Amino acid sequence: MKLEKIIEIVKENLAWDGDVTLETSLIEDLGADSLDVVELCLAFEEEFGVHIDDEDLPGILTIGDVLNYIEAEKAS
Amino acid sequence: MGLRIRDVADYLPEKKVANSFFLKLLNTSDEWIRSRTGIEGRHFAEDFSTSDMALKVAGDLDISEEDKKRVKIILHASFTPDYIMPSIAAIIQGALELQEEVLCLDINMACTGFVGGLILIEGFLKKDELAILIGTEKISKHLDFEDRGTAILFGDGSGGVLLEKTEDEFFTVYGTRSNKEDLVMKEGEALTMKGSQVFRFATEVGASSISGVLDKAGLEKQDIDYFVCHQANERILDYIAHRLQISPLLFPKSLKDTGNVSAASIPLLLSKLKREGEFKENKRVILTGFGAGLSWASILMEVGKMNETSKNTLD
Repeated sequence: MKLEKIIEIVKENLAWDGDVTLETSLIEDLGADSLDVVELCLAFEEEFGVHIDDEDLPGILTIGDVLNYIEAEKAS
Repeated sequence: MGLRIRDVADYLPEKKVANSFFLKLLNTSDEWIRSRTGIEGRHFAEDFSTSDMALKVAGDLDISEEDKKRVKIILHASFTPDYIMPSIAAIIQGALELQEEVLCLDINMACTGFVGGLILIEGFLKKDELAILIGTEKISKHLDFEDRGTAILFGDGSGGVLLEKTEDEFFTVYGTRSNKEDLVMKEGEALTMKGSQVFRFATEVGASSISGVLDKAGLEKQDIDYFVCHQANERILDYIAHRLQISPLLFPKSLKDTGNVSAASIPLLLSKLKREGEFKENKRVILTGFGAGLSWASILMEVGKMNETSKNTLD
């Protein structure tokens, strides 16, 4: 469910119609730039009630990274 | 108590710099800059100084000889002045041949400078007294043209207003979050900016200060005709609109032709809107600035019924 919502937010924000999997890279595969990533993080924060630190952004490269980060934040 | 904008004027340097200027300097393209920032061009002042531009605007404001006796304060907002002293405000006082009984000072609130200046002036003036507020920037002389994160974003220009103290509505929200890492320019160094952090900051305080000033006024977002925000980046403006669930069409833009002109951006936009006929009748607007400091400020006030003789250069 969480993964589906992440993918839905990514597709909507980046206007992407193609397939998105855990391995999909936000920047390499979907063409996101640094501000796209920040906008996505703000959307994730709003949806899941977590805070994504700017210093952690370089480590959030794929959809799987997003999922792992949000789950870790929710668990802490 | 409040303020009425009696007149607005602007000045943009002759030299227009298209996005193509950066293709040789940076790994970028016109399409990339347009889609990422909303900017198609900007103006560079070259040999024209900050005070030269400010004086052009001051001279274009419609101020009668009778008005000149009522001007009690001149504020000039800039983070790129050519004079450290005297103040550019004092230079304007002389150029306009105003009386000596005028308080003249420059302020540096970067991109919040114009809105901060309005707040200071509203608090200083007594009813029926007048003020001049001008924001001018020559940012091109402080850019690192190898830094894609800043070089493409900024431009030069000036905009200013003649203000009169009134009893109209005037509500303010402002704040400072001291930070000397995210948006910085030290003496002799180029401007630097952490784009992600500044985007997050600007969208947060832009939205919260607009909500805050609406709450203070006891009004709803539907009661506002225009949200006149600092023209930093189209994506910041669109995201603030998204956060507030307001149509981005109510966030007018001028940055397409100017880039980010910091303290001059809001008066440049007001001048553009006036030229397009938007202020023939009174409009209720929220003016919002945000930038280095980190600082932010929002004002809810009415704008309209200006003199029809002001001169404009923004096309």
